[in-house]
Amino acid sequence: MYTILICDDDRDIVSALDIYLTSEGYRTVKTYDGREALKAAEEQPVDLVLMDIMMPGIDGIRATAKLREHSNLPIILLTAKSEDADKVLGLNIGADDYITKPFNPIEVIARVRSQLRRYTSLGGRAAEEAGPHVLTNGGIRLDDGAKSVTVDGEPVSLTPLEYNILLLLLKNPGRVFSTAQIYEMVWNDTSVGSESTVAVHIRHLREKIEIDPASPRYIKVVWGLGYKMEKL
Amino acid sequence: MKQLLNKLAAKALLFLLALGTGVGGFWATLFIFSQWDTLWTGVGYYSSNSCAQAMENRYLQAQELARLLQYQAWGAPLSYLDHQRISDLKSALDGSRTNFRFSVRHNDTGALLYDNLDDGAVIEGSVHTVTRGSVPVIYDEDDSHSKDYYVWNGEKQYYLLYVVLSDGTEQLLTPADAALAAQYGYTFTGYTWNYQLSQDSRLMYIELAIEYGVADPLTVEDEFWEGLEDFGEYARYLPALAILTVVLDAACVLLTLLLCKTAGRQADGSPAPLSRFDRIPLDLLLLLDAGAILLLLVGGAPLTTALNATGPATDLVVGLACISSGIGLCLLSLLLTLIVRVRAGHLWRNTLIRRLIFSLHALLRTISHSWPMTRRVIVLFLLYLLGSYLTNLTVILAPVYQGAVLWLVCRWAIQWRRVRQGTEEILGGDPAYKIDTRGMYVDLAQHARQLNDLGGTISQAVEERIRSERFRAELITNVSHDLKTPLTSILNYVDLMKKRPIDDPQAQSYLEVLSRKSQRLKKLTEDLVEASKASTGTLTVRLERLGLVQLVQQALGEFEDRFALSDLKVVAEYPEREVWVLADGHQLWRVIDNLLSNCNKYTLEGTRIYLGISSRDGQGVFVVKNISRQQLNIPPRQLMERFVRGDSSRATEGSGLGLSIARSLTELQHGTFVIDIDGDLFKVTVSIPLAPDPEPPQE
Repeated sequence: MYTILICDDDRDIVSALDIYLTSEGYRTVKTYDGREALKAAEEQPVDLVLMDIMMPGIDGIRATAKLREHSNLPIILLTAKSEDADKVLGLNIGADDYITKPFNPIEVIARVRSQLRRYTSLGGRAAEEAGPHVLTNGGIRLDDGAKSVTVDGEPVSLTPLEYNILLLLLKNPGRVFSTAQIYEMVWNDTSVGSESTVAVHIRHLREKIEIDPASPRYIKVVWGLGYKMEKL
Repeated sequence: MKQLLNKLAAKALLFLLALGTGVGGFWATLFIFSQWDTLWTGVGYYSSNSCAQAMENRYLQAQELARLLQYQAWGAPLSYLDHQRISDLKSALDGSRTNFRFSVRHNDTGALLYDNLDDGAVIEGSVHTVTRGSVPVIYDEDDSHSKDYYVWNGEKQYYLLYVVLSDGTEQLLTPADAALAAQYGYTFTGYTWNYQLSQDSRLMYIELAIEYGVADPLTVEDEFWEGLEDFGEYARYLPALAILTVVLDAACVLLTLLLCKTAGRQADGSPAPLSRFDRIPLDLLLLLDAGAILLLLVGGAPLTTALNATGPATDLVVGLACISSGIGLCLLSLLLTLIVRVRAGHLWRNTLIRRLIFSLHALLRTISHSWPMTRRVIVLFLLYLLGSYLTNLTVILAPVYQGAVLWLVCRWAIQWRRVRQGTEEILGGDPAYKIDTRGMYVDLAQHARQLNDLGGTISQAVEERIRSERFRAELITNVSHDLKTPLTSILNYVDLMKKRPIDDPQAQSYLEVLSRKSQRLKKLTEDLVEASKASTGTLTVRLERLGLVQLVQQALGEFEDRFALSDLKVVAEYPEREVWVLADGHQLWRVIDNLLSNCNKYTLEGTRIYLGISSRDGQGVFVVKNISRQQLNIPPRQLMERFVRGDSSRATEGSGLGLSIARSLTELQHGTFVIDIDGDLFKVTVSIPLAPDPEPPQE
């Protein structure tokens, strides 16, 4: 039973989030500004914080910085601002993830679950289990011996081509592969205009391992150049 | 008031004192200088100036007498008046009448011609100091020697001499006739003739020696006697007079300096108000002063002559004092007013000449302002022609004049260039630029000022526009932000409602409408922010070298499912080689994303979408063609306007901002975005500048 601290100055949003999270089996603590959130986090053990950025008094950014002083619990920021600069600022001061308003409830649940898994069960174990055939990045774990892939502990079933693409990308995190290169290496064939096939496969792969395929965390599209595995 | 009066009175007193000491000092100095030797040498009367003066007069008489006596001795015919003169001079110079002693001898032989000494006396013992002088005496009855002349003998390179004899006949002499020429006083010197009067046998010539002096002691009462008496008197007063002179002069200088120091200033050192006298134009004052001084000098001249002749008389002294005071007054007041003017800084300003120049300048200005330019140019040209004509009369002035005209024309050209440069600056994006109008010709300066005003207006308008654009962008961002928060609640609660058990199918369908419309609202707000950011340029664009083919293939990968769902086939035509463009990958993706989702939304089902990539004219070109589902009855331009969609009914999804955003984003990446509509064929051409070839890798 995880306790999730919700903080937003809009009471309706707080109670909606409360309904979704409680229905998923989480315990929630509802707060309505930064000061209250900090106080609640001190008073009781909290496993995850869902916090709005724009709040009167202490805003989400400052509250995050304050929380980070003595805790590394996962913090997900909710923001109505979709400016890139705001996202970068939030992540830089120690937030683990962000969700832009208006959000999709399913996405919120997925992100909460992902963060909790990584924080509680996988946080320490991923490194221990790293064997000679095991590749990990963030919440992704690929065991080449068993040919199995898990994301945040959840097993994911991939087609052989998808598996090989993921393997290629995981082996070279941060490197950009063009569609032609991926085709040659995975299909073991010279590419003759079949590159959009690669793009389709990668999209399918993304849909399986990303929470929000439209803004992926792991497999990033470098437009005009190719694809890469973001090193997390 | 009393103090002021005192001050004025003190100044007036100072002035009068300075004037008095000045005039007194002037005359005293003059007198002292005339008697300088008496005062200074102190050797006695015989060495004094007055004695020497008297002696000189007597010496002239002696010379005249000696000459006449020599003529008499030669037997030259003397007139009656000459004879009378001889006897007059003899009696005037007689030893019983004058203390002047002299003797005349032939300078060559030393034979005595005449003297006024006592019998048997010699000059050395009879006078105080002997002075000696010689007098040449010539007698040439018909003056024939002065009629001689030379003729240049070009052949022999010397002068031929023609001598005129006493009977009027001419005789030619050559260098061979040296002996004969010597008779006439001529000697040949190589190419010309040297003439010596004393050797000329045609005339009488002799040099007389005159020895003279003043008897010591004096024997008779003549001018020397009077001089000696005066000398005794002067000698007694001169030292006192000299001291007085020095005192007067010093006092005058001191008082003048004091007056100069206080001129134009009040007691506390602050500048005094200008008096009426100080306001008289300087050049007029100078003219008046010069006239007055000239008049006084002319008036004073006869007085000084009379004074010299008759000695000091009361009326003469008073007259001269008045005249010299007048001159002193003029000079002193002029000096003081000059100082006052310099201190007030209007030495030059308060002159008639300056006023004249100014009024001429004003007149010219009026003409230049009121006359039309063509008329002025014609007048200037005529003036130039007149000047050319006048200066061409002299050799020196012509180049100077033409040079000056050229300089003026060049100056005009330089100023014109300045105006043009300023115009270019203003047009080239710096409307706040100001043209420097200092020293410009009137018309150009006026033109430049108008341009400056224009620039100011433009820069104001530009600023205004930037401000309103930014304000609008901020407004849209803020409003959409404020919309998003309630929208989140609506979306969430509609979603929650859908999860509640609702039996009424009517309510279910209502909820469905709410769900659909709230999703659409979400999409609209997102697009609104995008559009405003893209069109106001607040987006930052990072241009990189990237492959257009690669990007389109990646994009197609994203759209594959959706196209399949809408039963659309994609026919893509790729070039053989990658087309490298300079663009921001993310923004270019959004352009293509917009275009492809447009295709997805508006293409007639079951038709094909044609994609083409090529490079031409330094541009990477991406073309999308599709057949519209709805009839396109709008011009392409309007299609790109925000909130206009292919179907005017707005029944389909989409905000209508897609094309507008795509165009703005393309333009941000220095590309062009063109829409063509041909019936139902909808064609978009996106052109992005090609990237330069990458640097070869360094080894």
